[in-house]
Amino acid sequence: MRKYFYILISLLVITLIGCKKEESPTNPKTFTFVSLTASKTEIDINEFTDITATATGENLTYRWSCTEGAIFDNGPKVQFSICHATTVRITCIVSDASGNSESKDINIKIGQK
Amino acid sequence: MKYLLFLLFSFSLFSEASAQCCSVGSPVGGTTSIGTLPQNNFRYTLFYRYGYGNRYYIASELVNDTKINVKQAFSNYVGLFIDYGLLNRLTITGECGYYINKVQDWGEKGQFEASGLSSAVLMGKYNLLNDIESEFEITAGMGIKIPFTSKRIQKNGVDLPRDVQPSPGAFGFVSQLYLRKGFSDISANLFLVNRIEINGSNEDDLDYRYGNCYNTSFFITKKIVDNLIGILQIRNEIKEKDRDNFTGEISTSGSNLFFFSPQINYSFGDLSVSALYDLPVYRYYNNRQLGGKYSFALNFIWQMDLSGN
Repeated sequence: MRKYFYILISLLVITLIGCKKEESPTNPKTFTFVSLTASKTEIDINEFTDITATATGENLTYRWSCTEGAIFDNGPKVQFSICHATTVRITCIVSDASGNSESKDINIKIGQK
Repeated sequence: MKYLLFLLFSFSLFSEASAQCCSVGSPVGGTTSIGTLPQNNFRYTLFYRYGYGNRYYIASELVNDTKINVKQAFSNYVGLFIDYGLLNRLTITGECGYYINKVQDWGEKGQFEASGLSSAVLMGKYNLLNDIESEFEITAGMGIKIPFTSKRIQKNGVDLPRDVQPSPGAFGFVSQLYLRKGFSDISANLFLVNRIEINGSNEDDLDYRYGNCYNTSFFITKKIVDNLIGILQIRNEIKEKDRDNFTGEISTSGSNLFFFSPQINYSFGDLSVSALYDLPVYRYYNNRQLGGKYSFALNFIWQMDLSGN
């Protein structure tokens, strides 16, 4: 009887550990849009800033847009620049293969020296 | 008289409806078709336009800044007008345009390029007055502007800058007024053409709305030799500021421009060909914008009379 009790406890522990791992945000198979950050949130006109989307999940795709200005490159890290002073909202939509999707914005203030 | 028929339809009214900080404008109105046709007449106008700009301006002053990222911008555009004389005084017109390319060059960083259909305009034009004796004519028209798409073009998951988008992405209203005074004794004509474009809001998440455009042109035409006509045009283009629901008024949009546009027109049979060069003579841009340096256009016009007269 004691033998079966230990086997049951062991199975329970294994199951719990397994479940915990799947729910962890650090597991690359779980879709999570962690953050959208900029190397500089205030830049001068014609200066570049790097924008990085940090997300986990499988087969992630990134969709970028901005209210004004231009975005270079693609994927999780892009560059942004603009030729005049204003405030710009940059939006990134991250999606995974299972159809999960999340959007985040970041504002960049552009000044003139 | 036949040369006059061609003249009426070969002037150019370039509309800067899509111009913004880093583009050289887009001929949404393009080369415009301004007069009416006799009943059961068809007219096809095919035109090509190239526009180029590589200098920034603040108000009317040239910006001398070596750090500017956008090195140049240019566009190649073709447009088509189809006019049909429904009645002797009423002509219906369909306009559409296609950007072969619309390019924004950032030097070593690369360039943004897009192509595609721009807008269509459906318009009715009515001849209010045509006094043959005094050679005075008034025609008015109005219509709607229809976008071919309301979605922004993207590449590799990144929206291209609004300046290279081929379509304004919104419906609009267009009105046109056209006056002509002829001087047949010296084979000359004076024209005054006004075109207004009221733009609606884009259906994207920004509700982006291009500023309204007010274009006024004054033309003088003079027959040089048989079938060859010289045209001088002074044109004013006023464009209001664009708006969206994030920034409000886009500070780097809107302008007041004057152009001088010499043009020659040659007709043979039912065909007419004209060429024009667009030279800015005065410019005022709100805030800081890339200004057009020059543009030129070629027009091909073919008219058919199906009335059997």
